[in-house]
Amino acid sequence: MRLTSTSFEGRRRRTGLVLVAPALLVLLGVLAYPIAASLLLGFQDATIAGGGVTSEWIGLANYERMLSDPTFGTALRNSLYFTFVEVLAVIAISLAVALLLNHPSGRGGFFVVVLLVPWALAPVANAVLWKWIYNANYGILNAILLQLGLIDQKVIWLGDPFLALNMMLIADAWKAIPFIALLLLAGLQNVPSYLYRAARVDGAGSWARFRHVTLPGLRIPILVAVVLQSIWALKVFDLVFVLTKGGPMDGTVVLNFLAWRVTFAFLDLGYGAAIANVLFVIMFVLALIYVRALDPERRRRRAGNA
Amino acid sequence: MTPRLRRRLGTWGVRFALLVFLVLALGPIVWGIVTSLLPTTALTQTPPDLSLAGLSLDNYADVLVTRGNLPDALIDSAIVATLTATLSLVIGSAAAYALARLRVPGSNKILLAVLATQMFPGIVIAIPLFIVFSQLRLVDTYLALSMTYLSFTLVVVIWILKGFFESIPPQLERAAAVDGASTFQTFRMVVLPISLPALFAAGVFDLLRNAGISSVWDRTRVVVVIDHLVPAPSAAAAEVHHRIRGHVRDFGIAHFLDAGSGICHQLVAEQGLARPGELLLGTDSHTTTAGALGVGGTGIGTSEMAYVLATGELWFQVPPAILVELTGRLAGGVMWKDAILALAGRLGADGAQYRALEFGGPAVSDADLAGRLSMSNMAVELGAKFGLFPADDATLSYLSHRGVDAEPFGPDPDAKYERIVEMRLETLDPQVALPHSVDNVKPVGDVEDIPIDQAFIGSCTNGRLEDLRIAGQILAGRHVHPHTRLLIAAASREIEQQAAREGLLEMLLAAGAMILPTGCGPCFGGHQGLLAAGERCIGAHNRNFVGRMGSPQAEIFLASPATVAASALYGRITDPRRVIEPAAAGVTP
Repeated sequence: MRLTSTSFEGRRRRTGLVLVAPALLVLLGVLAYPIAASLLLGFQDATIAGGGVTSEWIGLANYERMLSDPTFGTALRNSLYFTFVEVLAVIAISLAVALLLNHPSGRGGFFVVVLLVPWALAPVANAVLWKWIYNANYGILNAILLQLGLIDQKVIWLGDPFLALNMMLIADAWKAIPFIALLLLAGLQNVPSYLYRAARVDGAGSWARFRHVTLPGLRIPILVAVVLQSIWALKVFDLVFVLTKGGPMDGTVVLNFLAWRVTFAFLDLGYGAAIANVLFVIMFVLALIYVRALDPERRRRRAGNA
Repeated sequence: MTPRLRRRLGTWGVRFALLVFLVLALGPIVWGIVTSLLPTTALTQTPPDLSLAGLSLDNYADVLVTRGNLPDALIDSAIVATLTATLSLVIGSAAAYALARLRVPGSNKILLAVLATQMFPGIVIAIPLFIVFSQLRLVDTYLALSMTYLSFTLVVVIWILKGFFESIPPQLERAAAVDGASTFQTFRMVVLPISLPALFAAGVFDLLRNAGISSVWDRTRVVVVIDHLVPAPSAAAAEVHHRIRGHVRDFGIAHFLDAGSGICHQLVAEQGLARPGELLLGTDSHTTTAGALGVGGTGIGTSEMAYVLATGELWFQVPPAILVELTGRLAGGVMWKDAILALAGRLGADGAQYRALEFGGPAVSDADLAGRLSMSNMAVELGAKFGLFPADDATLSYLSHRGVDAEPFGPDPDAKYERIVEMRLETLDPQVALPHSVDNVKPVGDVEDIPIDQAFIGSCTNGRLEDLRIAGQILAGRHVHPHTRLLIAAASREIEQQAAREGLLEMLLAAGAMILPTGCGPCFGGHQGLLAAGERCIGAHNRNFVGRMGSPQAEIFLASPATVAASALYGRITDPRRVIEPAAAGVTP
């Protein structure tokens, strides 16, 4: 198509560039530059000393150091465990919640509003809330379980490395479920009701309808939910910072938190950036999957083949 | 278990599950609120002392007044939030609109890159930013904090608003742009409620009713035509038509032409409903068609029309004029439609924005009424307010055949023109407007051999007898390509009848055409012959915007009825001179 000065389309395109430019400039400044700087920092031995940054090129040394760093290993394991279990749990529970809210008794704005409450809470406020709930001496969780006779002495929820990681997982899942449930609920409501009626006429029971109508209809929303939730689980930081600061015994140190600790507590800018870069690569791959899954062209082609 | 018992158990199960859901979703929040209302002493007992007597707002008084640091924090938050929200909405909405609509080169890559940045752990972006901000002495300022927040709010704003802008039909923006709105005005106006073209007529009367007006200013000077979506393809369209008929009865409208009569712009000419020198307003942009008779015809909006019907008046800015001086003669196989397409290509889709486009010059007297109606019709595609021909002998004889006495009417001898565009007709080739804008015009020779799935002859632009005759001339004794569908819709019942008398309909049916009822047909994408994704249509109508005739992935090419008929014959875009004047085209079919 041509781009001469009389072309209406051409002028619209130029206006478009003008409209995009401010956003690109800001994003270059606050995102692209820091990211590029961070990528470069990964190849440097950089420390903060005397108010200034001193740095020296050391090639891949930061990445080699990672391989033999037991804390990095722990953080990687914790991150992968946290992400894997959280994605499974959040998707399963969200699907149950979505099905419940799609049921005739569960419809109506009230339940959706209730669902939005945990989602609307600020991450740090959520962490503070759960820290108080988990408090070993005065926490409501111990009080309830003692009253019900499910435990006979107070449990120090955040005192054992593996238990603390799992308790953190519950607090994060509680906040993550609403969004994913809404995503799946919207997907459920897009499944045409005639498919259910047709399945019923063909003699499908409720399990068969779920397995062969609901689940295939939710394929794209579930895929989106898996990728989004993986990214968010990998990025968890506020909870670790407020609840455990990575303890006990590095039991809740995840990659994002480790990058922060190495950078800001140990002032080892280069190594911290290298850890962040590893996390970036993992999340970037997930993001690529997300964008490809959502690409309307591909979806249409797939729908066309079906 | 009986089915009834099972159902009842199921219902109770769901209710129990909902209760569990409520407790789990709200429990932690409720506990947080209760905690905030109790003194520390009550909470540090085992079990905690939850007696209502202990509830107080002391903790809130403490942070708000006694310690007094919350108000400061709230003000800080408010300032940073306002600054961040304003910056990200202003910058983000502009970018989102451009990425959604204005076909910025590489927009998909930009969006992907923008999203990818969100994969970077935010904590570490903070290090280089901190270094930069401290060099700029911006640390501890609202601006620095806002800029940092922008790094993720801006991305979210761009992605969300882009989706929103994409959900608005692009035709609306095109229409706004044609009507003279700048990109920014379009931006503001497209948020207005969206309605089908057929809704306009009903909407006008509804507006009057809602304003408490029960009669029009002059019921003999109002024409109501049902031409979009006829016969009604859906219950919703039928409902709109039904409402229009009710309004026509209640308001006592003198000229009512129901579905099947034809397209309003053709009927105005054919039934002599407007005279040279008069002003004609219609709730359809192609009302400029009447300019062929020297009538000042132009399209207006629904609410403007309600005002016209109530008062008989409307405010206009007199448009500057552009004179198109037509010289020479059209070669065989070239039509007036080709001339207006070529003009659109030369001036651009907004080349005559809010201008009166006047056609003059020695060649005007050669132009038949059908050709003039096509050209005036498409004047609006160049953004023109009017598309005027002088009312000469040809006009007066056309009108007198229809029982209308009129005086000659033309430009003042001392008329001032903003611009004079010369157009030499003898050098003109058949033209094709390529997707997706009317000004994306090329000579047919440049685009021959593009395969097409559908061909359409009809609409207020080219649904006249002359157009059907040229199609008949090309298709007589031949058959359209097996992979191509040819749709034909006459612009009025009178044309349909005459075509039947001349044997044209018989001839076109024998050539494999589908004859649609008279009306707007598929031209505006309402019904009858919509396109699937990836399909190509060549049409003798007037707009080829994205999504205009069905799928946004379809492509629409605009051309003269001769080119459309020749293309239908070969299943690909074809120069009509190959069929009717092979010698002139210098080729054999």
